[in-house]
Amino acid sequence: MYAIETNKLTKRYKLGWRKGEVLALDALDLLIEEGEIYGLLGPNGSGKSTTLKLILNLILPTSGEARIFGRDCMTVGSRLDVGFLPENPYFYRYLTGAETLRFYGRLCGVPASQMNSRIDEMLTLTGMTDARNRRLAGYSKGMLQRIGIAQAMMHNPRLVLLDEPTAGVDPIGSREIRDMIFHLKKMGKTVLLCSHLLEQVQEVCDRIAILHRGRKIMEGHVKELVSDQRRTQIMVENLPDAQREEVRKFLESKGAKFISADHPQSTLESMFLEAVKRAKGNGSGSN
Amino acid sequence: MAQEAISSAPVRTGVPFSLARVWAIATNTFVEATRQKVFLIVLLVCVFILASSRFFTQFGFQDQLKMIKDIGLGVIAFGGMVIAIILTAQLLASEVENRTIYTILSKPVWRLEFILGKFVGMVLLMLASVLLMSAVFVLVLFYMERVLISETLAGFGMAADQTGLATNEMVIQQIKAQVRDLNLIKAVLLAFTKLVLVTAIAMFVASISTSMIFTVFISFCIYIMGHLQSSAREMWQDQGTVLAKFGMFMVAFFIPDLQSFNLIDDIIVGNVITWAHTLKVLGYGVGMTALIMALAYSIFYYKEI
Repeated sequence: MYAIETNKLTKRYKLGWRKGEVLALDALDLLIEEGEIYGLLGPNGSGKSTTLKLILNLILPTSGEARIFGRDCMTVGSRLDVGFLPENPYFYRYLTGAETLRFYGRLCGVPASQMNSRIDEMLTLTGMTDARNRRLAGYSKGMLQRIGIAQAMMHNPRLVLLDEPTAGVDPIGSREIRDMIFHLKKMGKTVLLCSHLLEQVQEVCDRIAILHRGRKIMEGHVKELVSDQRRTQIMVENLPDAQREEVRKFLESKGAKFISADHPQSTLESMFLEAVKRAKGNGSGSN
Repeated sequence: MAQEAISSAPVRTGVPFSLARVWAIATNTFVEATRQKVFLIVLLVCVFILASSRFFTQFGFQDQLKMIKDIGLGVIAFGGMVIAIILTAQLLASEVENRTIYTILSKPVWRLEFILGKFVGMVLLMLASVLLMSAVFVLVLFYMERVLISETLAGFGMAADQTGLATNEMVIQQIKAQVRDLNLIKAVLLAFTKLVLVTAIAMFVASISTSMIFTVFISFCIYIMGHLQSSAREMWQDQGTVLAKFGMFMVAFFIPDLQSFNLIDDIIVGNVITWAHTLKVLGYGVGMTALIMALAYSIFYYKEI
């Protein structure tokens, strides 16, 4: 059984009187296996959010169908096994973190006897224990996203839908959310992730699909899609610059075309994280 | 460790309609509404007007008590209406704006539970508002009773009987009768019923619209038309062009008669208001509320969010 299965899922939005309609999603076929992390990519307006809304029955399909673990998405029962984090969520500003989770727990039917332990588990899972009694009005963007993931997980769903979970979050928060997604995978959850951050998607997703103007234009395993079979990367340590020419000649004698030999560069993200970590270390040392 | 604990959580299969979920949404709506600045400001203004209503007049005791009742019931009705329309419009619009509606409806929650929860939350808010305003109203009335009785016994001031024929005892009895008028309970009960109906109307409009301003404006228009409903019914039968007749027909048959909930004029004049009449109007209010909420739900059911 697939975690998500869509069959010719199509959505047309009416633009208003005599303005015609726009095709937001065009006969989308998706088969997402249980336990995999699946990325949905595409530029703005490509149909990513429309897909999520159709799966959650927040909007009705023009044609086609969608199923979650075999249950028709049009039924309330299909949402028993789904947790959802919308893009830029705000929640109820006057509630504390724990009260927010209690409210969503009540909606999901978490029994009163288990409520407190579930709240503790979710706050621990998302690293929000320290903020449990603070009102959401004082939360940072990253904290809102994390409490958002916690509320999505309150009823222990097998499938989690994340819509731009790292939008507007700083690199450290973004890294923490990425780690949380890895943790969900370890727990055996299926994750459907919509994101613009291609680097992050590449890092966490098993498979991806690229949408463009409502159509799926590419789908496959990330590693297969991004690897260039024609090229080989060799990385060596302690090779004197003088010897490079020798290596180049050797490779060319074997019929290979030598392209470049550079010192590898760190990514800006890892450099940033390293710098902040160092600064934190110095800060705590001076206190 | 977290995984072990999570995997022990129960797995449910069916999703029957749940009053517990309705109540969860209702209590959350109520708390959210009480934290809104607009609610607190309107309520404070109402309480202030009620508390200061005794200073608005300098007539004889009968006129003064009538004036306080007039202001009291008027403030409960009008202030309650402002709270009902603005808060209903604001809370539903902010659900979409803050995307909290996505997080709720993406859970195993029926749309009926959501709209009922929002409605019940607003009814709780109207109940709390009416109870608070009524408490201030009653306090002012009893305070005035003491003031007027002491003035009567002292033989001077506003409490004095203008004809000069009645004895002090008779005047005091009249003051007490005016203050402890049980018709006021019926008037407040119907004012509350009307506010519940106005909340349902605002909810119906909000289920169609996507803008808070539109909801407030249209609901307010319906509120005004609701008070002209009986006139519209007469005019529709009597006169006018075809267009005017059509307009009157629409108002007469598709807008609830809100004027029928107002007992203030009868109370001022001193008419007897029977429980039979009160319950009849109350039944009409409950019936109309149920009808309008059913319409609101049927629209919200298919609404694309």
